Amino acid sequence: MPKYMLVLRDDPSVFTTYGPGDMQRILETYNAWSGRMAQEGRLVRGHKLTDQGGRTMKKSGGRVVTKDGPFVETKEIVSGYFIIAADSYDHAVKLCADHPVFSHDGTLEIREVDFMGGPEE
Amino acid sequence: MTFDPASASDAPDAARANRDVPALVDRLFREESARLVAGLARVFGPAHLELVEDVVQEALVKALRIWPYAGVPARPDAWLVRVARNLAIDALRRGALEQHHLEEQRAEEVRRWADAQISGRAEADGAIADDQLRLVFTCCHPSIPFDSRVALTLKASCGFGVREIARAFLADEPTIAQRLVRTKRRIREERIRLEVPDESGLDARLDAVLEVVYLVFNEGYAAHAGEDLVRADLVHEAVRLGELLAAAPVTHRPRVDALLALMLFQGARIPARVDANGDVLTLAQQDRGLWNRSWLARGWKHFERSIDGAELTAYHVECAIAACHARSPTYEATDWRAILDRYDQLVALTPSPIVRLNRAVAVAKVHGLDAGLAALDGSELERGRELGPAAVHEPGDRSRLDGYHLLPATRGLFLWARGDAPGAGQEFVRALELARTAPERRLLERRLAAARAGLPAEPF
Repeated sequence: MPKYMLVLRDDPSVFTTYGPGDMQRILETYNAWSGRMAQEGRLVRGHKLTDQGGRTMKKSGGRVVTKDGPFVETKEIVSGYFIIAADSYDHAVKLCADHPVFSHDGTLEIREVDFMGGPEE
Repeated sequence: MTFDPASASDAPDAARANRDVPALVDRLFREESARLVAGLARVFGPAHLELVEDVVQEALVKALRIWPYAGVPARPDAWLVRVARNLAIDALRRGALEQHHLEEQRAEEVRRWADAQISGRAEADGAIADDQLRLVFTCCHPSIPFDSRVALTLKASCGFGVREIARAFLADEPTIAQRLVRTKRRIREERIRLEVPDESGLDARLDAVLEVVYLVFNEGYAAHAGEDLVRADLVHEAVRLGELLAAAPVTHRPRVDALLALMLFQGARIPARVDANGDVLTLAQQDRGLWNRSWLARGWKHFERSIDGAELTAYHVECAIAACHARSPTYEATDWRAILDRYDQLVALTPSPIVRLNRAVAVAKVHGLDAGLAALDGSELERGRELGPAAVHEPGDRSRLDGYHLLPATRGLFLWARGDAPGAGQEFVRALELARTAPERRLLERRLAAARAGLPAEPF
């Protein structure tokens, strides 16, 4: 079955104004969503990326320049990713229709993992 | 198994984590927030409440960020304590206290606090309860204005965020945030201490705490606008604080049991108070089988303890009224004579508009509708309206009624029962002009339509 990477982006600073009750409810929606994915055997893996730090490297003027963080240009950063199994892009979109990232105004990018016809992983 | 936050970014695969993850305990974040703030406030001192709250907020946010991927750790409480400990020590290293010589000593106290929490020693020797008691007395200190006591208690002692407090009180966030900042500044400037007052000053200070607890309960219990979940949590937090006070030997007084029993009896009705459409059901319409048995049982336990001694407070009388309803198998079987006696007693203790209004219902039940109407006209509810909203924010006024619509609403029910449907309709129209919240309005609209359609009067 095709695999899709869900790239989650959000603004980590929004949470400073959230109360414990708000936080608990958001976490419950995450647990419900990933619990459902895991139960259906769709959840391959997921990782949180650290909010602080990060380096961006780029070749400039004949040498590689390293800059701190991806956060300079935008408030939204990649906060983590999940990989799930789905039948198609349409199916993956459907599975993410109620993704909890939207509950805190984050965004989701869905990209199919390209196994180039070879064995998965 | 413990979960080390230091390696939290090396999260296990979400798939694996989600299989063996314990479900998130209800109100975990609120209760952990209250526990962490109370403990760290003792270590840092009440003057640094702001710093403590920031540290705790950051710890909770870290959990919110990482747990969706890594799963809820086996011991979320220990996880949060470790993160809060590390953040607190980082804050000390950054010089947050502005008292350099105290830095190492404080860091050591933070470590000791964290060790006691994680090992379970703090729970076992009552340190958690002691920390929370001290903090609630500070939040309800008499030098703090009443509304600010309520806001700070919710924030520091009950784990409510600014947004949630604003939602609960239909206030805007900046107002609440500003009120909290001012209150914490006052604690700093007036050097208000973090302590349970000694025996000589305890009674008055305890009353101040009970007033706040009861207001929190009523905000949650009353059919106000606002989000249901927040309101249910207000009720739970009020009961939790009541239980904290009732369980501590220093604060254990009959009136604490009376208030706690009262809240448990009333709170037990919550599952029966709305129908499938979210419409409010009155006591007469509720299915008593839905009342929360465990809350009722706890209510009776504290009711028994509350009558142990000579103390008689308004809480006792209100609790006795709630007990009459709790013990009655049906609405029809209610002992209105006993309830009226209690209301007579209560009017003598706290002659507030809402008490008089409720008494009028008992009068109508015992002496008939004419007597009930006369008692309603004698109630001071109308005068209350002229005084404006400020009048009902006074701490002594337990009614906390913005529901002036209740007077015409009740008069309408009485007229309707007497067969005067047009008169009842007029009263319901008046009540609708005054009712503020959607559930209240729907209830009144339902009655108005039924009265106009000539349907039999609704029981009151």
